Amino acid sequence: MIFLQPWAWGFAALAVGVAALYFLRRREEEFRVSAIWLWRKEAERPRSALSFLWTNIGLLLLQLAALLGLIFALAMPLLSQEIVGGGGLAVLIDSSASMQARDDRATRYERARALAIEQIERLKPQKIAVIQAQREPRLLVPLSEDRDAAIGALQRSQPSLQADAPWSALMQLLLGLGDPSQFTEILYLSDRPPEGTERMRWLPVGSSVPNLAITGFAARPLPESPTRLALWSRVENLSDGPLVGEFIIFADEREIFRRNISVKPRSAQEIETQSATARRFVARLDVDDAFSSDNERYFLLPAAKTLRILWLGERNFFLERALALYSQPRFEFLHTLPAAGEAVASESFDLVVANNVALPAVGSGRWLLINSSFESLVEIVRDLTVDTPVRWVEAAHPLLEHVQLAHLQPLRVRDVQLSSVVRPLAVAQNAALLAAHSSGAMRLLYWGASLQESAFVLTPSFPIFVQNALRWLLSEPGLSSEDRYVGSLEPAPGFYNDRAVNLDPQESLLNLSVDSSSSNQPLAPVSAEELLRVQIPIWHYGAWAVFLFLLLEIIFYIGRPTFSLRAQGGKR
Amino acid sequence: MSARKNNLEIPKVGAIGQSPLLDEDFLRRLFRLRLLAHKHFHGYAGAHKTARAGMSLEFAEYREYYPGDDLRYVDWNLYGRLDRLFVKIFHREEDLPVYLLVDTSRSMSMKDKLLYSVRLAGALAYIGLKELNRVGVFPFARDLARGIAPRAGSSQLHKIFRLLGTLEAAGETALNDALERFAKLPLENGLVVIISDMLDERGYRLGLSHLLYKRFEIVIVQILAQEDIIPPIASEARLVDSESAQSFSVGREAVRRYRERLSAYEQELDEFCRARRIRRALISTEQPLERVLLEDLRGVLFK
Repeated sequence: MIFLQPWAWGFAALAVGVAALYFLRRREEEFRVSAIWLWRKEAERPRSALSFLWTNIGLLLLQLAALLGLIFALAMPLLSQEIVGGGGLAVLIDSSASMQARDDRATRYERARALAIEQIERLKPQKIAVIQAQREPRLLVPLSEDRDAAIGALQRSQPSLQADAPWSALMQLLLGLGDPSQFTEILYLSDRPPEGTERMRWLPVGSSVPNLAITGFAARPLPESPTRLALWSRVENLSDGPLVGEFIIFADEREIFRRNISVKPRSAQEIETQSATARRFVARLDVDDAFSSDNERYFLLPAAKTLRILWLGERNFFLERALALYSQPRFEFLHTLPAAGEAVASESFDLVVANNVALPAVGSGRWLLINSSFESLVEIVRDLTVDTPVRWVEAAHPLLEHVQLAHLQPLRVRDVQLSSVVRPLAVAQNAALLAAHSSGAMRLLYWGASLQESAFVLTPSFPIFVQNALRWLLSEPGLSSEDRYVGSLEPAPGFYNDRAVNLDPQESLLNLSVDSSSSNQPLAPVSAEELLRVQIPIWHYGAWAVFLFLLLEIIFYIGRPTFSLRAQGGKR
Repeated sequence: MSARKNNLEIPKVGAIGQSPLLDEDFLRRLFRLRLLAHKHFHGYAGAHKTARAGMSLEFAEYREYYPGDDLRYVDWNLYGRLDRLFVKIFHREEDLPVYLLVDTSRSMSMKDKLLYSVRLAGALAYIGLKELNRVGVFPFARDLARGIAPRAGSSQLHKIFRLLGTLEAAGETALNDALERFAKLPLENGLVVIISDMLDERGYRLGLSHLLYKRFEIVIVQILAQEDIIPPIASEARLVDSESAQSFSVGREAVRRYRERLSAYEQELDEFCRARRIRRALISTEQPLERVLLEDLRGVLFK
């Protein structure tokens, strides 16, 4: 209930005056009787004047009640009332992994489920649909008039270990149910706000709870030792208080690392260690927090893929070593290029590396061109001395992930003419230093400087670049780079985690936060009590109460009890 | 009813305050009422039929003729049929001495009980006098006050109304004393109508017994105010006695016990009266006087 004129409650001070006036005029009623001896057996009631004032204060209470009713009416109260019944209802219940967190004894999903059932029973919709919102949204109950079936399906449903639902996919599924106007209410029960601006009510579940999570776990081979690996992990404290726990790493079920860790609020700790090569790694966190699913991450070391590589032109130690780091290459070196008009049998190889050669046009294959031309795609014009810094043209390209721009800086670069289908990624001295082309069965990556003259091969970015190049060149057509990862956070540069089966680190963010400054936060959270409520003025109840209380006072004060003597019998 | 017509003049005197005691129209409506007396009293010729042989027109019975009987009363027709002499005996009609004892104690001041009693006494005096009875009025409180000796005639009605108009509630109630004093007065026995609330802590038995001993026929018209029967005490109240000015405080729950005691007192009075053939009526001042006279007191005070 809210009051439009709350200042009216100031009149409550008048109650003091009303009480004072009442007590000042309070007198004991005197009653004359014909025969006091008929009363004399009654006990005398000795009492003080003060105690007498507090007896039989019914009239005072009536006056105060009337005053209260008057103030209530003047304060213009509005009552929040629920609207019940009818319409269509769509229930979107978040079933992502974070809904398995326990705020108290129940999980968030159990609370959301109970809340959804409560709302269904309260709203009594004519039609109802239930969608489980997760990375792959699931239509739990198609639009149906059977509320009991919907409630039953909800009760049987369970949360998943998937990430949050892509909003577009969720809306697509919702629109697939038919015209959105058929839904008088769309409820979204989740521990985080919805992204879209659709007509929707968010019923938040969950609260701020302690959570220490492993948000990254990866490994990389050590170049200097083919039998050892570097392991990297990140432990984040996603709550407002410090948390301590024990971090353990298992390699093929064998414990190889254990450390007590203490992580400050809202901070992360990175842990690196080395291990002998193994197949399966598990990082485990022993901590008492609200969410256990993110206390363990897995990592499967991928078997190094055997690659048949045709090497054309000069050999290069650094590139060969880098390729060997991430695969098992079987090189075939061809120092003499095919005769003019004779095609390179690129289809027979997984990758063709061309170093300082001029290649004829070929329509397929995976090509890594180092300082080489490729007929009709890359035409070398001349050499240029570079005296300006390299700059990105397309910094977000997967080939450039974790590659530092400064590491690319060459001394000389070849001025080339690129076909319009070849996309320059980085330029030096206005010449393309790095370019890529992908069409159909062909992929081509061009590097426009000599590896022998460049310090690039000595920088940490070089193996990362080679790893990116292998991923990009050898990935299946149509397979986006994002699909290689389960999680959205990248591991440290150069680490594998594409074979890990892990929770999306976003799911570890359990604290309910509504950022009002964000433009992407269109909906305020609404509690279940506020749902479908209208404000109804109820001041007239106060006015009626005043009238009633004053009427009662008049009856009690003026009206004397009247009795008929006929009941006593007039004649004996 | 006697053949002698009563042309009793309704007096203009007798008023309480500025209001007349009884208005003329009201008294005319009481004209057909006749006092009820079961006992036979020796009085003057009047309107009340007695068992004694008399000279009225109302035939009573036959008796065998004895020498010396008045031959005017011999029924010759009967002699013709039976060949024996019988004389006709007629009822004797005598007047009835009526004594109106009006309680004027301070308790009668409660809620116009005295006013109600005075108007009732006035009406009874009128009814008694119109039947050619002798009517006297004796106010009493702690003792018997100076009243009006019973006499007949319209001048008596004037006197009575004048007296009733001057009555005021004063003094405590002493029923036994007052009734004993009345019983010892040198009066013919007759009908005594006691108009009182009969609320006396010292009782009423002795006084009534004196009256019975003197062979008075007693009718008690007990006048109670509504407040006497159901005191309107909503919560706490301080009780003040109307006669002694004693006072004390009681709660609402005391009313119920008061009513129980009053009921027991009334029952005791009722049993006492029934055992001694004393007729009694309990009247509330809330009841209209005309209805009381025309309906409630029939069989008690009127035929």
